[in-house]
Amino acid sequence: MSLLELVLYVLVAIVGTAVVLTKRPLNQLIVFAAFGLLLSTLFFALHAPDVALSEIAVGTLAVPTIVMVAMMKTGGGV
Amino acid sequence: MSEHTRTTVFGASAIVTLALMLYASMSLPAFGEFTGPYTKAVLAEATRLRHVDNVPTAINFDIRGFDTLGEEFIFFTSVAGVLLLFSAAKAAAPPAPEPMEIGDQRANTGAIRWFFAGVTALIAAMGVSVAAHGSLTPGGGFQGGAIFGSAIVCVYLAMGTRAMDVAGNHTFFTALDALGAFSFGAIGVATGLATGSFLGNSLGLGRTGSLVSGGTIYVINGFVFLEIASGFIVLLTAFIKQMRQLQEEQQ
Repeated sequence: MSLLELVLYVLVAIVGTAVVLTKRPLNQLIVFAAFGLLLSTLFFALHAPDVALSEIAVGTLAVPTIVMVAMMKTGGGV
Repeated sequence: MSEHTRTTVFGASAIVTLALMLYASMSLPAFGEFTGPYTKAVLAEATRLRHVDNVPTAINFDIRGFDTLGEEFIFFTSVAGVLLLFSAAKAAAPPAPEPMEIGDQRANTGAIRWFFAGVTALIAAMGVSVAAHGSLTPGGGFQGGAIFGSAIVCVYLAMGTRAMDVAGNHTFFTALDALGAFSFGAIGVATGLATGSFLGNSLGLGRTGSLVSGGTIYVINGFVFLEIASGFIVLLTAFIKQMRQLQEEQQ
């Protein structure tokens, strides 16, 4: 395992835990988007650039947008 | 259930799960060590047989193209489902103008507008590039389409709901979405009639390493780009409009 991979694994674990520990849903969404970006960097480091590109679009844009609408609709996180 | 009981139950099951996961991970093969014969065969032969340097593209649009066809229709159906859900909201009055659309406040948002206008162009160009190089470099129609479609969010951020409605014209992009999905299936049927096998690669494969190579792979790649890009545009436009309407209802 290269140093880059090791650093990314640790960061993904830390930010993943941060997603769970963030209390306010809106803040949690921002942390989640950051987690998605980190995850795609890890995919890239693991020689899966195809997956990384999909993860960027889906994890940092599509999912947050969907969750944001759901949050506004239910009045949560505001 | 009291807080204490809940924590105890969670703690116990967490320890058991962790132990099981650690035990299972010990017998995992080391990273990058492929054992299946299919992987080796595909890596060795895909470029020679299909004239495509980016093997995942050859796999997605040709070798297991039938599988991808199913995935494309999952996406198509999801877009249709979301639009159906939101169709009731669409009938409501159009949202009020954004601050950036009102004359007096326009000056204040100038920097943001220009920033996002530039970002829109960059993201769109990146999307087209990723899709166009689907046969050569990582990425392809799906990734390029998703990136291209995301640019619509920047149009909204730069110029507001009305500009987004113009740039992401609903009728145009729903039609394009359907065209992309239909064409994938139609190519499958046409090549099936021509070669005797569904999605059989019957076009000229082209020179390995040139921009347009891979025969039907490149054509399908283009139609997948159309479908995913327009699907993302239609979806994101619908979601942003829904958010705007909710905002107004809450005010």
